[in-house]
Amino acid sequence: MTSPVYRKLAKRRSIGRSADLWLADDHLLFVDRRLFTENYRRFRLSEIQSIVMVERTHFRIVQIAALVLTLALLVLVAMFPESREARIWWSVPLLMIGAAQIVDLVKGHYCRVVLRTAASTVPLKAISRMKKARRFLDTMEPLIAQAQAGIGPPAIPMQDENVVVSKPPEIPAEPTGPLPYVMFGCVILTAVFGLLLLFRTVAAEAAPLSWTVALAAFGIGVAVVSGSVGKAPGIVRMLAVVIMLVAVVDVVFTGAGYFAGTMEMSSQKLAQPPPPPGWFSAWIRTVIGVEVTLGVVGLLVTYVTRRR
Amino acid sequence: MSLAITCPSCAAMVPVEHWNESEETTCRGCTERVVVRVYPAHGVGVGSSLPPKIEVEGDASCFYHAANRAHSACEGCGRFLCSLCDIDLDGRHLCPSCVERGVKVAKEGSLEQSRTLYDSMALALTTWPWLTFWGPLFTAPMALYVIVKHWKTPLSILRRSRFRFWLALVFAVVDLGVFVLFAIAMIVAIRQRQ
Repeated sequence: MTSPVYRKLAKRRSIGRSADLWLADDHLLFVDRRLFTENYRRFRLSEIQSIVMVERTHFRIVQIAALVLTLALLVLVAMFPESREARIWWSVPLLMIGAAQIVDLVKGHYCRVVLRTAASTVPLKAISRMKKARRFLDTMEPLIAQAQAGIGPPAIPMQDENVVVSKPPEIPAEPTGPLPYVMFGCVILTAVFGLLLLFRTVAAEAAPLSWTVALAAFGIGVAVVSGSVGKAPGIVRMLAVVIMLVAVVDVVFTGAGYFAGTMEMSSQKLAQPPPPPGWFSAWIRTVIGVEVTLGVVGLLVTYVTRRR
Repeated sequence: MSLAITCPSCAAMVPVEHWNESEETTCRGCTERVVVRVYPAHGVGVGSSLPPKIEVEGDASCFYHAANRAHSACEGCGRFLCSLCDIDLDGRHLCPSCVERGVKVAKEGSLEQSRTLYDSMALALTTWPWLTFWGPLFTAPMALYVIVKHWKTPLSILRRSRFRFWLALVFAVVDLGVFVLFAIAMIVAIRQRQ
């Protein structure tokens, strides 16, 4: 038996997870990938009963608010009274974030697409934009019509238009064990080691420990967000995403600062690394503040959600 | 099964006159724009009749339902099947036990439900740990083990070359080489001091 030839229709990626839609001659393949595992679901074209897509306008408000905030920060940075280097230091990441947000806006409205067969109703996570959903429908409609050519018109229900069908009960989040606690604990520990980085005498010892703990928090964040160890509550997953971003920022930027200091120490043959510049210390203090806040809030949220 | 089509956002019923409209319609529940496409298969199977019974003596009967008239023969084991037991899989007629066996031994490619991507795993083991500096010392041998053990294991059911395996192999060798060189340099430095 020959394996079918697939054509890619849509793809959506997130950290540690992706969702793809592929089209074969007679079926649609939905691939849900989590870290290193792919899960497959097949929908035969002759069995697809309906496709419904609904726009999610509230996301547009969040998008515009985030863009306005980024631009406001950019203006603030441009007005910094500090050095030119400090302005460049802050402007580059802000410009990158702003550009990403503009691209996000251009991509169009968010939407949710649901495919229904006789056996199941499945959200197609690979399609999240109206434009893409329209293209998907344009591709699928002639193929479904061809596959269902021998069947009569769709059955129509005897429905009361004012009826609102009650939502099915939400599936409770599966337990994720102590992982969220460990993750938030790691973030607080990273902040503690980060604080030690400010003291030149212990910076060399604290730096690798700080990065290791930050990366541990990142790894646990991936596990929590991707749901590979159980589904954590939504708020915990949201905090985990923020933690992952902060951990990467922490490792990359403080790492760069640490190595710059070490290089300067060896080139100038100093006994200790030179004191970090003022803006760099301010940056580290900001990251430490964010990490401590995230860690404490996360621990509290996890504790409260577990108690319910 | 209900024939009603509901909004995925608020579960409000979408009136029949809004089905298959070319333009978006507004949901009455959440006021979001909704597009509904309903196909002929909608409602197929609802209230359908049972498979025909044996009426004339000598008619072939279903292997699983002796009272039902045979509709086709299983292409896996040859058993006669009624329309209830006939499973259409990629144009082939199979009985439930052949389908079940196919799922268990994963011989039936079109029934596979999941696969592990060992090539991505090996590549991740050789790259990400560099962020910890000493991590590859432990993960590079693990990556080599994964590469050797799963080189011939089928990867994704989609098109996928072994490029990641090759890349992981190169990275693992480089990772280990770097540590070997580092160890030699350390030994030489210690000896020079002595």
